[in-house]
Amino acid sequence: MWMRNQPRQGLIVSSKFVHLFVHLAVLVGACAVLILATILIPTRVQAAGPALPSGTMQAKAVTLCMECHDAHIIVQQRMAKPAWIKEVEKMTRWGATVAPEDKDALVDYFSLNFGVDVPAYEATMTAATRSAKKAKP
Amino acid sequence: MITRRNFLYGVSGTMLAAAAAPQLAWAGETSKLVVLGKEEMIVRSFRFLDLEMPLSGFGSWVTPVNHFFVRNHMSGPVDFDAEEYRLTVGGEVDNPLSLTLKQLESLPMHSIVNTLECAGNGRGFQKPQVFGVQWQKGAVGTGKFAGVRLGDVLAKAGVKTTGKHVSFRGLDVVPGKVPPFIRSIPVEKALHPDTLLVTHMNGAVLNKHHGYPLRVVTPGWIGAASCKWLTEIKVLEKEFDGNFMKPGYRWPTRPLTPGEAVKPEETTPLTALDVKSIIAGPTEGAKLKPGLNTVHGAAWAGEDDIVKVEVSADGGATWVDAKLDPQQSKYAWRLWSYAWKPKQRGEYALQSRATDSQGRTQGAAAKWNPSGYLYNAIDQVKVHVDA
Repeated sequence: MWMRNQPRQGLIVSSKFVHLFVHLAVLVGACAVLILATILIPTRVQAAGPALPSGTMQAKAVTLCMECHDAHIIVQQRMAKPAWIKEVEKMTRWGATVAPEDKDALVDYFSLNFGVDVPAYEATMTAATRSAKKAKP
Repeated sequence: MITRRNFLYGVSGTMLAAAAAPQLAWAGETSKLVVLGKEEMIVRSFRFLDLEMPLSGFGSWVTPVNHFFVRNHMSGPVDFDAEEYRLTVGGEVDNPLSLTLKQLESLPMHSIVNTLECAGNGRGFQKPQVFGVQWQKGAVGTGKFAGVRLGDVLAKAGVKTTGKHVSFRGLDVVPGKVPPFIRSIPVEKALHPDTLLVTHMNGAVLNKHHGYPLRVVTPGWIGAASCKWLTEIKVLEKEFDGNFMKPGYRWPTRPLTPGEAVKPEETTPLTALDVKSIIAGPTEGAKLKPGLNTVHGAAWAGEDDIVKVEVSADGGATWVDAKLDPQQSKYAWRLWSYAWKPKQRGEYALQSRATDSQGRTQGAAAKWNPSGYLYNAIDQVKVHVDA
């Protein structure tokens, strides 16, 4: 704290140095923002992923399920009706506002489209970017 | 390091928004999801983000962060403030703590190389099928994790003799009425010198996907025992019994026939990983030439060591030892390879089978359980050899 009132002495800085310093500061700032984007920014919530198939319950399924999660976790399942009943009941406990009169139709919709005999879902890949080629441990 | 992070958090909101824009988007030309910091990963889920490492990832003993799998039950923290951040330690302790990152990092640093695997890895191979993320081989990766010992933090707090379990809670944003992601480990494992509160992964500050600013790494155990975005530690008199301990992440205490249900009282929480090997190459359906073809993959066994990996090229009738890569560390996978020289054309079923220091080995089928955990059947890849 005692330094605060001391006269600043001997600080001679050329304009070239100031210029360089400003450039460096801008560069460091830009790098900082990029690093931030990589490590700190939360996942943006948006509609991304496969669509739920058409059917009389499609719109309700979208409204009920996608308030919390996207369709990936649904479309990769291949389960029989009893398992879908359990799953719809679990999701209802966890906050999905399934009207009692919609439950059976919803279970039928999932069982039909994502039953055990439906061909497997083919997962997609995230994009490669330039940094992928330079990947280091 | 903390100083730099604090500085970064001080950047204005406008700049943050601008930087955030390209993080997740659909790439116009390829229609592929762009996740900044994650390259060419298999998308199991977008919200909440679950990304699987492709088979090429098994080519590296330490998995690059951009290929390291991601598993989330819910979203990570949205409005994180490093200045406000505290790790609290409470429950059955003499001196409850509230620590800043700086205080934490003043403790001695330690590091381990650990293979982290989601308990559900391989669920997509279970027959009959079970509900959940349909992981195949790549919900696993090996990282160099550095941080402070959980035991050192618990020593500062002073664990009472009544403390038997240690629970972790992260800064996850809980959706709907979903129970919070809280799990506990026995105090003996918590006090083990290799159980760390991790700030760095592969020599860099943890990134958001892996739990920045602080995560637990419970070495050799299922991924769910390594809580991300850690903010609260509680020492408990008994095992935590919330959803992600019960009914979640449990293992039957008696053998089940495939498809059989199990009563809750016949299950116990999952802990360490089982012995397992996978074939990373050649890949399923590959068309090969006669002569030298290298079969390769990885093998791991949680808290135990891999002592042998065997390969069969005749569907399991005969087995030969694969060569284990010299790079090794307790808790880390061993890469392995086998110089296979098929002389005749035809269809071949290549298989791999690992044995660990406990004498455990892989069976023809995984031990079936209703949630499809710890899938570790002998791995098999069918290939075609032609001129």
